[in-house]
Amino acid sequence: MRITTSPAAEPTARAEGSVVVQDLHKWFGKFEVLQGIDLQVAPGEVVVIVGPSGSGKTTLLRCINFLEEYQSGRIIVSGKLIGYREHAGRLIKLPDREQAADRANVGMVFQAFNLFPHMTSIDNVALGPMKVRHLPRKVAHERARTMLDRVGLADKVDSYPSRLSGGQQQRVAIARALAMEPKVVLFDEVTSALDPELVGEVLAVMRQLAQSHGVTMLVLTHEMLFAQEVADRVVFMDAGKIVEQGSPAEVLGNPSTERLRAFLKRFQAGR
Amino acid sequence: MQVVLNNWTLLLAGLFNTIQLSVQVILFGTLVGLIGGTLLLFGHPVIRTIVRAYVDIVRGTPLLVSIFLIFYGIPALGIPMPAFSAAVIALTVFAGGHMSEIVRGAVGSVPGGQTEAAMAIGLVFAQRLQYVVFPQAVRRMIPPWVNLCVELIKGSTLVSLVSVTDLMLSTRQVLERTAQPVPFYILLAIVYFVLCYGFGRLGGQLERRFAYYD
Amino acid sequence: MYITRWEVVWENLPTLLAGLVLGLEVSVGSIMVGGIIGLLAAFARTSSNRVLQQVVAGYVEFVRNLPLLLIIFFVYYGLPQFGIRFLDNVGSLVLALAVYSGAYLTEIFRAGILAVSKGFQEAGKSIGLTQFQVARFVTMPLMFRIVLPSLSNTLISLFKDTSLGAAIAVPELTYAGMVLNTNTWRILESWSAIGALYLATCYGLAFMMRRVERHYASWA
Repeated sequence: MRITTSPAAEPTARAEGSVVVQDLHKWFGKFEVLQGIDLQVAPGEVVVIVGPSGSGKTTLLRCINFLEEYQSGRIIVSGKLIGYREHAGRLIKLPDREQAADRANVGMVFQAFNLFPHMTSIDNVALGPMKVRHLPRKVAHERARTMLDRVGLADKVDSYPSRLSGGQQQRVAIARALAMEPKVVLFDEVTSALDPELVGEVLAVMRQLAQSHGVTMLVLTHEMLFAQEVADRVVFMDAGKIVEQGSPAEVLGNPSTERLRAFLKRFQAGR
Repeated sequence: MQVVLNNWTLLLAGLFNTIQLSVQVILFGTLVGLIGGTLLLFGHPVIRTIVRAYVDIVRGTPLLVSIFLIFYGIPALGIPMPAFSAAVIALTVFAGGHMSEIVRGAVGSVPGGQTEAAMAIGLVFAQRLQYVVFPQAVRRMIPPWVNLCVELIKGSTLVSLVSVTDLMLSTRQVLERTAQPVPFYILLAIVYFVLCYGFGRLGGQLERRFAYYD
Repeated sequence: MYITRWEVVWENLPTLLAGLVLGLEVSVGSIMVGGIIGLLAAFARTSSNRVLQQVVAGYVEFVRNLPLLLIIFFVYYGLPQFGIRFLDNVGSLVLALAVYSGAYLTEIFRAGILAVSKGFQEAGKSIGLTQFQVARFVTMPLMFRIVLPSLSNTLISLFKDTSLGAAIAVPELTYAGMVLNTNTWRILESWSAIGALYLATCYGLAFMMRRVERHYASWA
């Protein structure tokens, strides 16, 4: 089941916080990891992408903030073409400075947290606002404090990552992403590396964020319960293609393809 | 022991030369290595090949051979130079090669996720190096750098073989006059041990200062 | 204006190569003796005997902070003072290098011993092997594979360190170079050629050691 864009939907495809992926193809050498992805995400929408490992979902996410290059198709975030500029129908890679400017508007939270170990929590969160948004130190630190408070870590502002639990580190990572005030935030299996008892605190922050509808969220996860309760839309990817998408009730409750049924079966058994 | 006391000015001069030589070589060698390492990591492919060749040659040949080549080669090419300076250059070439590899390895060992996280918040290349990569690389450089410095202090003894009066040579000159070399060698052992072990301990302090307070 | 005359190198190649071979022989001899020292010391260091531990730790720390040249001079010029006169200059070089490398090898072997999972050693003990038998049949074979890369690095370093034998007139490659220079004063040609010979030999050793490593990698 594929949702296609109707011409009437085009204006929203350029709005702040929208993500449009058009016929995206990516190859790793000879292996085509993304085989023609079409996806439109409206501003403020919460889209959860599920699928087996190797389906290309992580690669898709990393293309959106251009941590991975792509060979054909288009990715347009908030109306701007990502990673390249068009010249006579060809894609020419943007210089590092422009790539960085685009990335400043798209937040990413990593599975491995990737907090800067040589900085305290507040410094981790304030680095972007200070050096990319060029805010004065005091303002940046104030914003960092607010963000850390928002994720429930007001008392850990001066702690180094090595002193924090996995769940706390991931929440700092979320604060770090939000401090840049992005319109779109990407979540790359952010709870998969956490001990089970720490998953809840991170999901709670993400749930809160989703309910505020302030940012567009693209979430890769295996947490099906979270997807069911929080997502506006669920997308199922397999072998480089989008196989099914729709509301959580449709996709998770009433899968129409055999592949999705087989995938979901895994979550009924061993959970 | 009387002999030691009679010649203590000679011995002291030798010690002074050894320390001066070591300090200069450590300073210049570290500088050359920082530049070399950076070129290896981010330089133009042609420059990278040249630096790579320099590093591999230095690491594949004995220090003594480099010393002979540079120390005697410079005057042979018609360039006048005091012996001490030639010795400094010879040892610096050696130090620079090894330091470049240390720098390259340290930067390479910073996890890729750090660069990605830095990219994800919109930092440009120079900012990623300055705020995220280099601070973490420097911490990783310290132990091998301390080892290299100790090797340089020990390697300074080789200049005694080209008649530069360091501590080793001046001590040997003095012990010629006695039939009992052992006490002098024991004295030398103690002095060099103090120099090297002491530097190693200082290095440990440096390491601790840079740790992530954990 | 320095005009290079490379014939000097070609004419004296046999002497240089003979020196190279001697250097290799010395390296192999030293690493064997040093290896025995290092192995015994490593087992002593990881034993439960506190005194033995401290003695070995002291040996390692002391030797590693001494210039190799000093150790060579001490063995060659100093030992006769104690009545040990049977060592010629080559023998002194081998002994000095053995003592020097022994300290580094102790640490390498110690890391290897500690890296061998306790589980294997306990399994050995549980079938009734003595401490010594566990060491011989369980720990050492497993440790050997782990330390092989460090061992090859040590061998290559030792080979470069044999150049210091020139200080006591051991006729290895560097000394041959010194003699060549005294006779011909062809500094650039001789020393670059000698450097190239060392470089080639080090690469050759590294290549050979990598093949040995790969051979043993088959049984993990």
